[in-house]
Amino acid sequence: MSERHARPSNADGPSSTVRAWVREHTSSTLARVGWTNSSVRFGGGLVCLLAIIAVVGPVLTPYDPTAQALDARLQGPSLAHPLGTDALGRDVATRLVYGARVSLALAVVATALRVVVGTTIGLLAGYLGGLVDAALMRLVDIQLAFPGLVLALVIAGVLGPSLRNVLIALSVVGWASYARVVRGNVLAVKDRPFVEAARLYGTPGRRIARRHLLPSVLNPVVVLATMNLGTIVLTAAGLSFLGLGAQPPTPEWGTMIAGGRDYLRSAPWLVTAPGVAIMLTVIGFNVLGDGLRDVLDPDHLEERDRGRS
Amino acid sequence: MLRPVLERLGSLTIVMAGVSLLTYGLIFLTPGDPAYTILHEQRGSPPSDAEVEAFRAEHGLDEPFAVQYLSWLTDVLRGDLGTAYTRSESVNVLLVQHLPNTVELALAAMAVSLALAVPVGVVSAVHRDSWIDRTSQLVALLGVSMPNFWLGYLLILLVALSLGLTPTSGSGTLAHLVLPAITLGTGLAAIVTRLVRTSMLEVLDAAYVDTARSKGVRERLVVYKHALRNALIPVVTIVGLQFGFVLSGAVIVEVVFQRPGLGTLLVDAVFARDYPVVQGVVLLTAVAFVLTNQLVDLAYVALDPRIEGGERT
Amino acid sequence: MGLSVSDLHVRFRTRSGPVHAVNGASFAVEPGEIVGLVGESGCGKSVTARSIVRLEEPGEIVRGSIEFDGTTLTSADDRTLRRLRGRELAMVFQDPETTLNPVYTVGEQIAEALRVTDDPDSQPFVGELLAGVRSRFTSRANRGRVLELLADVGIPRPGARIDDYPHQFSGGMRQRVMLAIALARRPSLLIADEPTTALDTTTQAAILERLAGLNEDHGMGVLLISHDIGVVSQLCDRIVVMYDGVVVESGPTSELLSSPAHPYTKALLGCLPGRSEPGEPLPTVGGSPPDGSPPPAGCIFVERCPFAREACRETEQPILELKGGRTVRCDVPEARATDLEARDESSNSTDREEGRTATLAVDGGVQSASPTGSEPTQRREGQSVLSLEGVTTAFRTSDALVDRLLGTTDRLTAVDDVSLELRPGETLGLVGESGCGKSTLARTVAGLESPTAGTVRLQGEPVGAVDDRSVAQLAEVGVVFQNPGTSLNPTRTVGESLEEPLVEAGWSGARRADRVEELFSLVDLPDAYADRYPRQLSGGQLQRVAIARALALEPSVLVLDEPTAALDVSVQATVLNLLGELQAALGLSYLFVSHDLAVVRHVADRVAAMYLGRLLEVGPARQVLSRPAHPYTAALLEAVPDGDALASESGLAGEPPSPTDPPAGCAFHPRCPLADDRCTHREPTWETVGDARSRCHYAKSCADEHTSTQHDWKQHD
Repeated sequence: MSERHARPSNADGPSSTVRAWVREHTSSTLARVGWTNSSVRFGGGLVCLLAIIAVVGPVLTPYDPTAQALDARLQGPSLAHPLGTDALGRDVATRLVYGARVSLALAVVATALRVVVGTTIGLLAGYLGGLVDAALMRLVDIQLAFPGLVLALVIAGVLGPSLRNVLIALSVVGWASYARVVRGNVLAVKDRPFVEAARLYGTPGRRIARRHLLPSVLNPVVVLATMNLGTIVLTAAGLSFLGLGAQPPTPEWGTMIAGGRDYLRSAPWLVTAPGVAIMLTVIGFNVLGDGLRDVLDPDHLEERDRGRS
Repeated sequence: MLRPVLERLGSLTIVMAGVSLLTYGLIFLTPGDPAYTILHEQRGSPPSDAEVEAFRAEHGLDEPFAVQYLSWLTDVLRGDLGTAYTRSESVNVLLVQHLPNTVELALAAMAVSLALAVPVGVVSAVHRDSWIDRTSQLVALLGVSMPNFWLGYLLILLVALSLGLTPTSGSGTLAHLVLPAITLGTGLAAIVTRLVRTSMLEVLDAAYVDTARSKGVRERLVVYKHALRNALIPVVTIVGLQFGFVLSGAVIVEVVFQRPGLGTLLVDAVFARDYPVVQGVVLLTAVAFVLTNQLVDLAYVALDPRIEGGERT
Repeated sequence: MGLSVSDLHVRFRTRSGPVHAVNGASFAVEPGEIVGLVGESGCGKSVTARSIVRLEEPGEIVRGSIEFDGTTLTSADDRTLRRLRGRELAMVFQDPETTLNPVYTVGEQIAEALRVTDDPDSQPFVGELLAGVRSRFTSRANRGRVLELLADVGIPRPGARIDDYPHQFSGGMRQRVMLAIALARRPSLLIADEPTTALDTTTQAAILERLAGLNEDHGMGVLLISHDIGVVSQLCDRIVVMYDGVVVESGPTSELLSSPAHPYTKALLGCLPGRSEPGEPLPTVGGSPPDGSPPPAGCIFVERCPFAREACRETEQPILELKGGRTVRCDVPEARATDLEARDESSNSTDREEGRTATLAVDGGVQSASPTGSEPTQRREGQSVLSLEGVTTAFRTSDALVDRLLGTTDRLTAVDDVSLELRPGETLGLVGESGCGKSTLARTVAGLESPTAGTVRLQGEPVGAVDDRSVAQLAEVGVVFQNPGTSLNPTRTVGESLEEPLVEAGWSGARRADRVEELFSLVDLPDAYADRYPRQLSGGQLQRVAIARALALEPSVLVLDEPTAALDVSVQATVLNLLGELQAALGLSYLFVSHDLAVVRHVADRVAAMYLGRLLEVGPARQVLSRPAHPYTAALLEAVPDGDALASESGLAGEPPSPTDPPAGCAFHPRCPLADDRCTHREPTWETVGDARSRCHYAKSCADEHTSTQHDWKQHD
């Protein structure tokens, strides 16, 4: 019967899977529970606030983040410069606001790349099993054999210091955790009766993966990704601090701390302010992730995937 | 009985082969011609074609990749990691010189954080939602969210500069170790605290804990004899994995406190494109990390009677 | 003296508001008495049990009191509680998988209980921690006592098992270890919370017998909590029935079972398949089960009670004392007076046998897709909707890469050379202990496993695994799984799940919508449920959806793998009724896998018994379940808790051997009471006894023996 292979009308690509997920989580009681979860509200609020600052902040500040004003060097916090100025007379608050754009954008893009690569590999390994699984999991083992920052540092260093190369480095190293989590969840779901039922009425493998397996693994992936955003902000700042990421005069939080370390005693705000900014961002993602985990993933994702980057 | 051991060795071999290939292959990520770029970097001016040729010949970079890799691997297996480009010392010597400082730092950080985190995690879980729990949760949240290099500078500012209690940088004495160990240990302590707490909460819900209580066992023994032993099983794995976190953190902490260790060696070598050194450090950390995790798996067998012959489910 | 619970109220705080688990339970257990506490899931029986030993957390006791031998447990301090738990009150929990600490040996866990009992107040901290670290005992005295206890609860070779860890024991053996821990205290009251629910019936029979023995030997009182009225009636002196957190009725076992007074007790007993004629619709309880919301002002059962009056809504029902030590919480005389039989009569109208055969013949002709299906007698091979010829399904025991590459691994033969057929319109019950291969056989039929040898034929055509079946062949077989909670995708609406098979079969949108609507009405669900997610439905409703999905493509065969095992009896009754109606209306053939012989007896036309992957007996249900021609089937029947004398443990001693290393000769011989030399050496061939076939050298004498020892519950036949 040729009908069997005809594309069904309620066909679904990955985007419809995501749409279904969004629909379910916005229409259901779960979403309401989500908003009653104080961690989700606090973390989500903090992250939204930072995102808004990153987007509209530059409009609000009268200063240019890179323009030097040597007559206003190393000024302490004042009304004109709430967080003081740096060694080149640039407004620290302004540079922080621009820095938020860099950090958030980097974190979001790197996380997205990790999610796509890791989820695909995890799905393939878990669903196909056998030799494919064995080979992909060895690949994961190899990636995980390197301490995250060490590998990212070397990749970024060899490619040459730049923000783009930090992005590449961070994307290359973090996907393995997703692959593991997704594979584990696929294995747990694969033999559930609802997947077997789908096989029984002749659903082809690709559609089983998309329609039944992918939605079941999305929750833990969303939780892991949220926490991962925080870790990436930290690692990216670390790489920039070492001089591998954003190059001066680009305003970036890690670079700002690196630039301020020579004035630790005379202008402590140069190190303190960006540090607090990084910390708030990471707290936002961590708290949101914790809350989402309570709401979306009652089985609890293993904590092991957070210390890594 | 032999089979699980063989299987484990088999997969370990595959992983180590992949690790070595990746480690060696990294230098070919260099934009353009590696030899040219390296020389350019070292001299600060464009090298001549002859110089590039000579450099290639000297370091075997004119061979096909497979030949280069295999000859490097053969040397490595013989225990020879080559000679640094920028200094006359062999990589082996450099590693031996820098390793002790990093080991010292890593061990100190792990010891400090575990000694703190395990009891705090247990108390947090047992007194769930009490003020102790809330406080430790908040501190742990700050701990995981703080960039460690920033924490390092704050500590330098407060403890070393303002109070003058410790030196700001360098290595050698116990006083030199205090601030780096705290800096590196904070993140780890925070992660482990949260982990112990989660694991304890889960175990305290388990039916066998109720069995113990229903026997009339004292609450303290219920917690420490019946629950904790089980709660530590996952913690051990994670702590093994966190060894990677410690190695990563050590790189940055060493730079902050200017401690001569593997981290500073690596960062300097990366900037100088001193690839033999980079390869040596990366390989060493990866091997150390992989072996630690193998040891953790052995510890697992001792802790959890359900696991025999190293098979984990 | 003894235990008395009065007006107990327990509440749980949850995110979505308080859950009222116990709403005023009152009952007593006299010293040395065995009392059964029964009720369906969510009735608060477990919470009540846990409250007695004060392990109700995270629930809280908001009202009422629990007294034991003069001590008020509800207000006792920790030290008193410890002493009582250590010496007087012992508890055994439901799931032996999780109730033993995995990291300590069973010997240490029993010895710990002994040490606590000897001196509940000492318990030295460091000493106890060290005792846990050492895997063997140093104390000879304790070791001897532990060995005694292990022997006492029936663990074979205690000397060899004492230093083993819990994971090295089977479920039944673990539950025995739990019993040993409880006995170590020489308790005056043992509280057993569903102690046999996770076990096979054969193991259950053995454990129940132990409990009875312990009660007899030590004068130990027992409070047995169970959802299974059979279990409770078999063991208990008195029964307490709970509904929605309230004790609705209590009394001596035989009186309560023969003339229940409360409408709920009547309804509950009525739903039991063992109490009705096979094939007849079972009486059911209308309305929906309680959900933990605050109890109504009046009677808690009012919404579902056929005798409810206006007054029942407003005023709480008083506890009436009836004669013979019975109490009932119902003030409506007619409700109490109507007897069980009358209820049954009202719902049974037609003579079952004739009606059934007629339907079968008609449907067999009309519905069957096979061209040969029109003849009235269905004995020929070609007419089976489904037939298995020498089917064997084996698995590798290791999935490791090395093994897969080298092909070196033991194989587990889950199904071993099974030949069976399923005729149009009939129900074939497949029974056996867990692990006997009945589910694997069902999965092989469905195509989820591929047989390693033999042929599965569907309408006469050989078929392979699902991937090799044609659309038409896939449509022929519908499957319903045990756990309705996992058989529907939680991220898709019920309607989407129902539509999926139609989508895969290439149906057009309009046709699909019609069919989905039709399916909802087939299984008696409102089609408004299409937009709901599985978690918004109850277990019974989910199972209806699962049945509807299995029917979507108009199959001729339904494979039902323990379809009611996860459901409460009242829900089970409605699902069994539905299956009966569907079979009559659509002429379906059922392969019905179940461990529950009462259910199988109710639904099956023929029965097949499996053991270690082999088929040991096949035949008409009425014959196999009343005159079993195989000692294994006989043992299964004997293990069914039915209110009669306890099964003797020797009936089915021990546990099934490992399927990777089956015994020589007759697979069943190590556990068979009839086994002799011949059985250990020669595998029996099929013997015909009446309409049944049995794989036993002594099939005939077995059948003859059991003709005379029929059980009560079989008298309907």
